[in-house]
Amino acid sequence: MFYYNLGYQHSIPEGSPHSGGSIILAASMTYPQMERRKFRQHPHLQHRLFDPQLYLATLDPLRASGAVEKLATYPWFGAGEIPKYDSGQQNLAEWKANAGPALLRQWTRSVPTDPTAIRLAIAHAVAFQMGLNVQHIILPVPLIDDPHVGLDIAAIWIDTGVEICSEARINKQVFATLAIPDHLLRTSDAVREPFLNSATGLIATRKRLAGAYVVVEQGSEDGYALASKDTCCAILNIVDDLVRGARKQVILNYAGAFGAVAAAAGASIWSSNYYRSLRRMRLLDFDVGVGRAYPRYFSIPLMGDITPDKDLDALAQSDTFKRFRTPSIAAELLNQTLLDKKPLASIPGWEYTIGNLTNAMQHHNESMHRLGIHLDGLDETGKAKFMHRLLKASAKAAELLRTHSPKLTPAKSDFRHQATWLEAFETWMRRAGHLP
Amino acid sequence: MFDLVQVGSELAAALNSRFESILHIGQGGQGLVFRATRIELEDGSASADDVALKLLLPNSEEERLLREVAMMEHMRHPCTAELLEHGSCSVPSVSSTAIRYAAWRFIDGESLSQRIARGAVDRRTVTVVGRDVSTAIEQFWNQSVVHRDIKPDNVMLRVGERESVLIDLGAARYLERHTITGPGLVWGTLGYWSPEQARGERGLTCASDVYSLGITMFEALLGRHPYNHRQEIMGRAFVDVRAFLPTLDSRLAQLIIQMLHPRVAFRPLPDQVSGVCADILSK
Repeated sequence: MFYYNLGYQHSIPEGSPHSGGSIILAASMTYPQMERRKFRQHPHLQHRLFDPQLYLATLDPLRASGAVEKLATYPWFGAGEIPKYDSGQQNLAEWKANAGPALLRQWTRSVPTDPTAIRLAIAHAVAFQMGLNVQHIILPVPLIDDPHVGLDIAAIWIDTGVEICSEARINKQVFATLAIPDHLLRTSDAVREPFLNSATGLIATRKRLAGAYVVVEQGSEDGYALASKDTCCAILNIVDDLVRGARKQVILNYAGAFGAVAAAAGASIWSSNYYRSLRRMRLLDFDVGVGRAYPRYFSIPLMGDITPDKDLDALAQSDTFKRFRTPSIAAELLNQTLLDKKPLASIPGWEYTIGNLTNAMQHHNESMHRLGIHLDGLDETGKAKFMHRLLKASAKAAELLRTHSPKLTPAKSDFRHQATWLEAFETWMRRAGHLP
Repeated sequence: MFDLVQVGSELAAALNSRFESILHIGQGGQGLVFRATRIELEDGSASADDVALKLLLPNSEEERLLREVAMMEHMRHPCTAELLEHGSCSVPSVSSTAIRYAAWRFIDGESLSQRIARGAVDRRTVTVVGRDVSTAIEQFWNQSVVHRDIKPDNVMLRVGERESVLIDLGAARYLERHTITGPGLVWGTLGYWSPEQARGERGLTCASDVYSLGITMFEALLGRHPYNHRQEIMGRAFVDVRAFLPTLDSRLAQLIIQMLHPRVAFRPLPDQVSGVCADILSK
């Protein structure tokens, strides 16, 4: 099921489908703002999850001050006393302006280590989520940045979290965060495989857990779409271990459209959004000064974006656009215009200008939603077959774009990851018995 | 070598004559084992407990015994050994300094390894072992403890072979809540390690014990270790139990195959193992 991964804007462009639900991020707003949010007015927030984002605890307050100012207001980061917000005395903007410097100063770039502090941190995170009336609880667990000690630390947080949920008789499904930096997944088999085996074992052997909330920190690559075979295979391994092996569930966030591939392999929820910073988890994305976005056209047949800056026109003129066309309400006019080989500049709402995103976002959301709905309607074998066909076609299409005209813009359109996704998916299919 | 009669009488005196009928029944690398009757508790009240009295030899791994007693002090379950008391005592013919002792409730029966020495064990008894030892694994895991040394030597079959008991927590690890310890040592016994245990991984879970139990059950059914204790060839691939035991009940074979899965997440949890075994036994 596709969920929106929501940044600061909890609203989505009008006309976007409601999707299965949404994931709300701690880094998107401060604690006082978040607890005052009225979720009922948004249909896509009826089913909501809250990611406590403890894996962001090492952010540098000098470089990522915007995110740190917000995260530091959540007690599970252990950043010290949070300046009190009194709505009778000040508005939120004034409070934030006053409290900001103190919050940055108090940020330790580490997680609590003392057992009592860990307990308190988790209790806060669970209580906060209960207050938001979330669908499932996501236990905060630090980023596992070391294959040995990192797993021990994660085990402590998970066991403490499970204990707290049992003591408090939490009647919701409980997921443990499994946050892993991609450098641990891009090592030799001899390091990666035992690490993944232990990481999924952490979740598989805790009966109280419904599953894992998986986030891969993509410090090693910088594109819109995952392009490392090791990372893609590792994500599918995690899903396979937990779903087919341990009969648990996986919620995968921050993997862009690769989330749909993981869903075909068994992930129950995958979450993404239009902005690059919501399609991938990259600590560097939190640095101040990241530029604003341009519109991109998501193509399901390509399983990637095509830039409206020249590339869509080039496809239209070479009569190949129909191969990449993805129907949506927001792109109805664009699709027809390009099929008629008319220039994209004539279509209102799709001009290639900075911040002109409404239609592109709505189209992206609708594409993801449709992909999700289609997958949800298939059984296990049907999902595997459908995704295999889709990835084979997208790899072939991407190959054509690389080797034949029209030549697209490598930095702006995505046609380099498809063969990798196909290879990773076929590796999973063989493992799961869907391919000989 | 010790004069065991002399050791027995010194031991009785050291423990204030609270134990009687002290009879030497075994000796391992770490200590001497006596069977005795505890007639009086430490608080002076009367008792009539049949006990196995373990005496730790000098220069042995005291840490191992201390770890075991710390784990077992509050554990009371029919599938695990029951620690009755422990402490230090003076036995001059063994050591000039005080040595550690532990009194365990005596288990009337034999070890699974003794039973295997006489040949392949019947399917029913192996299923009993599967049911009881997996129950013990779950009891430990509920307290974040991994046994790490499950093998036929550490499984006792009670007389009649209707019940079994997991013993010896000397290698067990409590997943520390309060400190992060240094890199893990590889504990346990060659030929019974799970793949992750053999690699010296720290994050061991109950799934590692389930793997060791799977090998133990497999060995009991075969009457010999399936890989002749060659750890290096274990855990690399799927184990086809039916290739070794073509007539084995399919549910039991399937269970053992799952228990020996190289990937942790694919192994059944201890309560699933005990559930399947109990179900097989009820048929």
